[in-house]
Amino acid sequence: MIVDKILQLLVDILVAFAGLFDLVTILPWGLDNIVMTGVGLFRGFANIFPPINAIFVTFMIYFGFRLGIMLFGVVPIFGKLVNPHKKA
Amino acid sequence: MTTFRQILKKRGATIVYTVFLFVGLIVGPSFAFGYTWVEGYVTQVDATHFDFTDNNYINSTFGSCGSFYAVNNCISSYVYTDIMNPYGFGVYKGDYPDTSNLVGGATGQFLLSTFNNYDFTGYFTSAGNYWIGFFMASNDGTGSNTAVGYASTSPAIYIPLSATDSTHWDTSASPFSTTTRYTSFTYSTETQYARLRGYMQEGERIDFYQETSVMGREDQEWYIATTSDFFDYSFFFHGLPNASSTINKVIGLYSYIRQIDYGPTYDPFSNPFDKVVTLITSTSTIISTFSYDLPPIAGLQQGYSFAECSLGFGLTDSLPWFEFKGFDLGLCIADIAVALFVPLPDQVTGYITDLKENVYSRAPIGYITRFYELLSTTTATALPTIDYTFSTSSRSALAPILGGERIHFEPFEYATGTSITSITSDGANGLPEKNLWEIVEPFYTIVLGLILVIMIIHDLTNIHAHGEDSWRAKV
Repeated sequence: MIVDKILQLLVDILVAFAGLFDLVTILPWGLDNIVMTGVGLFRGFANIFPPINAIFVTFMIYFGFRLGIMLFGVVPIFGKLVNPHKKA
Repeated sequence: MTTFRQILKKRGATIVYTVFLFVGLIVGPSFAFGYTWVEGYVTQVDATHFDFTDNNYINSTFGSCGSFYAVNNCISSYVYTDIMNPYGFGVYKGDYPDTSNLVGGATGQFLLSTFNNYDFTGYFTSAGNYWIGFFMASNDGTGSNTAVGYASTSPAIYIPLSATDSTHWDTSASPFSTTTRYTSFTYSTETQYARLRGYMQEGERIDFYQETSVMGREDQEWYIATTSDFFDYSFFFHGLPNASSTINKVIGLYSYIRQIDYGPTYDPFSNPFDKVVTLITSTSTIISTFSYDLPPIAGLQQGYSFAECSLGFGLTDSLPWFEFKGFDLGLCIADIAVALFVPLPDQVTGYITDLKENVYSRAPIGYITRFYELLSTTTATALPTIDYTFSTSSRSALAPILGGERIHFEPFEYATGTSITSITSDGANGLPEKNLWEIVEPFYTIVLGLILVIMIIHDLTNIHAHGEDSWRAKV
């Protein structure tokens, strides 16, 4: 119950803070249409050329790995593990 | 020709007077006498006959005639005018007069004398509880039945009766009998109220209580009748708190009516506590399957079971008594500790949903959410093709040759899919027919997977690190 109340408080604060910002329904500057068209075409291309899909999935896994390592390195204690040459 | 304007000029005063008289004499009194009470009586002639008497007495000072089931011989509804005649009657079988249990009746513009010494025995067929409802006619001009002009809110008087057989009413249980008795005993485990109705003589006392083998006699309450009249009392009862909704325990609801005589009051030396108690009548009912949830323990009850914290009076058995099963403080504390620190999965899911709906959808995280949404939900679109039909009206020298001819070219299809998915094996010897991609895919996947693993190992071990140029140095 205590943990529950803490979670509830945090969520309420976040929700109240988020209420200050605009609701996002589409990406700005016409990006929404561009992304939608691009993804649609990519999926269409992947349908007729299946190997491209496997390459994309592999790339996304690698990209996720690199992103994770970068985020891991931002933490001061773990940063030393990732980069021994990093100055404190 | 005489115009309307000329008529108005000539007969204007007459029209104005006519309108004034109509409003003053017809419409005005209708409103002035609206919403008054009208009194009527029903008397029992014998076991088969009744008289209805409408004294046509309007009295706006009547507060209320009471509820119809109290049977106080009074029309308990308001009417518009003083025109009151019985319009019809209905005979109902059951505890309450309701259209669903209507067994007979008649309608029509009856005269009052119609219901004098009227025989109703043709309208009931067996022993049981009945109601006769008399419906009044009050002409307010707005009734749906314009032929008789009764009001849409027809007032009625209802009389409860008991039939001893198929031809005779029970005169001893008649509402006009002044015998002390119960006429109805109902209860609700939802509201936890019992309702007792009947007739009491002046000075008699009605008691009510619940009794269980666990708690004994509880919720005792009583009233003393100040006049001989019909009574209608509601009494609260607690029932028993149970942790299980399937519990089957016996709870008795009891009531009795007694005449309590405190002895001669003129004797100053008599013991004031000397009294003669005479039981007149009693009634009871047993509730065998009544339970309600334990109240929350300081708001801790959030889906966790606190069975260990109960005093364990045999909560799960089906015996009609309560057996003490023991109490474990350690388990009780453990239960409460879990409830204090471990949030329920449903609640955590609720918070995540809350975040998704209210935080993830708003800037700046909302842009990422939208981008992810586009990646995951956008469907495939057809790739562009070259499609052209030559015109026959072209001035080109080739127009007579190419006119009307069509060029259709799918570059992506030809460059990729055609070769990889259209080259198929022959499927001989009963083997499944496969295209080139289906044959190559397992090897292709392995190669890609190996490349991925090597890249990750390369990054983690920094095999080809060149000092400050290494990505690890840049983190």
